[in-house]
Amino acid sequence: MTEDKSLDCNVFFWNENFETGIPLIDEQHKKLVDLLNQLGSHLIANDEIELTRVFDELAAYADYHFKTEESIWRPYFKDDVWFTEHQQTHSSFLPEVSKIKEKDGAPFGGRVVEDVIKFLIRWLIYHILDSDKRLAIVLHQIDSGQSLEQAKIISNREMSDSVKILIDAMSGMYSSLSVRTLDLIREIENRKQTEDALRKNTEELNELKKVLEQKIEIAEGRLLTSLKLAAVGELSAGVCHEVLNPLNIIGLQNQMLKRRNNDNEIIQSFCGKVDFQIERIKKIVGLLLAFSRQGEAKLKKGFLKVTIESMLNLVEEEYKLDSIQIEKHWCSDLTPILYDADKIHQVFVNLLQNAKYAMPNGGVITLSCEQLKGKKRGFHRFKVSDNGTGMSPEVVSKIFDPFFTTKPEGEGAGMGLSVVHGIIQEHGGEISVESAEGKGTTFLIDLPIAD
Amino acid sequence: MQSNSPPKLLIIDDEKEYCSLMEDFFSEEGFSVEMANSGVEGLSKVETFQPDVILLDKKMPMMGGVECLKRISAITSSPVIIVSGALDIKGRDECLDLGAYAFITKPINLDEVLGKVNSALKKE
Repeated sequence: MTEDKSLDCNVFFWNENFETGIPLIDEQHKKLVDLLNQLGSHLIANDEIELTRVFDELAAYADYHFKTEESIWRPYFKDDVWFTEHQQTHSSFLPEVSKIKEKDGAPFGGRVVEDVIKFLIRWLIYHILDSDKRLAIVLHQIDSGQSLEQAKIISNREMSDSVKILIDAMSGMYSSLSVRTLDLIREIENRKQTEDALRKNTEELNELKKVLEQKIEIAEGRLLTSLKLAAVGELSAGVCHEVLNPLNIIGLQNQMLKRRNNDNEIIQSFCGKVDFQIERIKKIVGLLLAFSRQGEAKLKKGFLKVTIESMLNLVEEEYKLDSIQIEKHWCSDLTPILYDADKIHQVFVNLLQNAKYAMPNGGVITLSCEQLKGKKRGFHRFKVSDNGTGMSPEVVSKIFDPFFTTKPEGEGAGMGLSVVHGIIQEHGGEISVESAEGKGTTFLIDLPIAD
Repeated sequence: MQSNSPPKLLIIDDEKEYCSLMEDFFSEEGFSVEMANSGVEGLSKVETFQPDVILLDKKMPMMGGVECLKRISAITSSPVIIVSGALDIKGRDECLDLGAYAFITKPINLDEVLGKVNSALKKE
């Protein structure tokens, strides 16, 4: 952008009227004007290093140009006053421009560069259009056979008062043109900064949008799971009550039959088998009811770690036999939580059993906790991680569904994690799962901190 | 309760099949049994039959078990054993607070219910 705009941002416009008719001098004048325009265009970026570099190049080139000019004038003018005055003007150039540059000790940029540019424009106009042109006329006249004095008279005539007025007028025009150009440069610079800020804001907004979309997706997933489980819970409760009545009657009939045929072994054995099946149904109904039951948790304030530790005391030895090590990383800032010890006990037993099942050849179960910050402030997170077989995303998506199990038939009813989900919800908490196949699974339980 | 007459048991439950099985069982155990298939009928039998102990179903259409329990408590001090479809901790606590003697869940174990009825009679 800076490169393209530099063409539009010339502070000095070269035209053939600036030519002296001496090719080497004209070429060097053009180069000086070119460097001056570069200085102007670099104002957009306002890069002090780049501005200083261009300025130093311009100063060095001016010095070189003055020497070239003087070597051309000297043979014609020798020690004539026109030449000595011209030399003095040359030698005063660098000190003057440096004085402006270092004014107030401010960094080289913005207003300081503008002042330097304005000085250079004025100086170049007078130097080239008046002084250099005047000397060049003398040089051309001497070359065509005139004496120095005659040549000076002709030059003075050509550079009459009216020409001087024109030069003054032109200088004024160039000055106001350069002021407008510099305003334009500033405008471009401001626009560029605004565009950059806008682009940055847009990028940040897009990032934020992405994060929000991801959060919404997760929240929608959780809501869907909760709604699904709530619906299944309601249905389960209804079905259970309807099943329990006939089951009760079958059970009573069976018990009566058994009582009335105390001495009949065949009937006793038959009734025993029926009893066994009734017990199975009772167990499943009990699990379903536990899953569907809401708001029955007896919440008491306490440290959840205590409940987990006492549960671990019961299972740790047994797990060791299966080459499973249990590691605990409790955080130092544990805070009390309102919870139902029996139910939370059930949650952690369930999660440990699942972890054990995922590690048939042994492994490590890690229990840890942390106090959450940001939007989840006020919650304590407990993690149960294993380095077992892990689960596919498809299994993860159904993990809390009632009756969903990856275990062989007869080994699990698929109600464990549904019950766990229900219990955590009863506590006003949230449970989620992260899993990678072949790497392991982590259950994250967020529970509200007691007031 | 008169010393020589059999103990009187009132079963209040809307499930007739259940009632008749319980009647058979408790009759065989030496009880005098009456049945009622609704809360309203139950209340009327409490007055006419004057049972020594009452087995009351918690979940019945129209007048539910809890309402019936409140009304029974107002007219007799006979112990009431609540029979519930499922273990419902809140419901159990509510019934016990209202003065129920015990709370048992379906499916019923006959030995358990007989034990509870006998201990209720002793208490009385």
